[in-house]
Amino acid sequence: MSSHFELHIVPISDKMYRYALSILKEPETAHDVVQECLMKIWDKRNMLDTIDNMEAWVIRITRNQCYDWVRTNRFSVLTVEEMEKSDPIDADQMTLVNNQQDWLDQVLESLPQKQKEVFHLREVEDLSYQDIADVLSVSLDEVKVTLHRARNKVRSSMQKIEGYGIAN
Amino acid sequence: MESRIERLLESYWEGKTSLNEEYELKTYFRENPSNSEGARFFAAIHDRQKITPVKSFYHPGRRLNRNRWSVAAVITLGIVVAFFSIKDTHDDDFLIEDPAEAYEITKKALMMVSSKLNEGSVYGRELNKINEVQLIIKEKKNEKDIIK
Repeated sequence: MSSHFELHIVPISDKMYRYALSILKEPETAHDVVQECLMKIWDKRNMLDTIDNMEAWVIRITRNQCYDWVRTNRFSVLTVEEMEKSDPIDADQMTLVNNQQDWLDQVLESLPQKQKEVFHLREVEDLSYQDIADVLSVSLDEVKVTLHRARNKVRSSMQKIEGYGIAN
Repeated sequence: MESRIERLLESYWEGKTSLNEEYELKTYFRENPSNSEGARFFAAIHDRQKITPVKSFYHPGRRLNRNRWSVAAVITLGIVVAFFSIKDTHDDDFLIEDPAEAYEITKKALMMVSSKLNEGSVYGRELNKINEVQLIIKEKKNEKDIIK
């Protein structure tokens, strides 16, 4: 049973980390949260062969663990509700940025939480619509609509920044 | 830019591309970097995909084994410490190995204790005498009170 862990879980630990980092923003915290996830999954290693979609299951565990962390540490970071309601920053308010990573970070920060997560899971982690729907517990249509809105906002933010002139 | 890529990019922004088509776009822009909107966007996504943890994760199963080794190490250390502390007791400078000499020393120690006890019993006897005198005085006093 531990071979399932090595074969299916260990290779996606980097994905888990990136996703946790996209929610929590702090590398150390994201690392600790993913380590806890790995321990939880290890405890369930005897049932790993019964799980149909391992990747979506693991990413979902990571998400839940991140939100648990946010709830228990609500005084140090934004609460889940605040994250959900996060007021999108308009591209007009963005400062000029000097490299493409900072630029994308700023654009993504301007998105509502759900759009941010759908965008990350699709663009960075290459998850299918169905996997994203499973991770977020939403319908397939909702994933498609959310992703479409996220891409539109990213594109228009890009174009506005381009209008200001981005140093590249 | 190839017309197919242009079409794919437009479909991408409209949210109509499959994972395979998106993979094709990402590969194209990675291999053909430029200053275009699409190239910059996919380069930024590619940078994000390269992010790795600040330190590697430990394997939970191996961590358990490590705990077992820690317990074994602590037990071994305990045995070694116990061994040396017992050995130290035997190496004590005040240890007397000759039974006759040990007997004499013990006898002297007990004699000293008993002499101190005897000194105490002398004081005890004197105190008893005082108590007896006090009782006699009390009885005499009582008798006088009755006669009155």
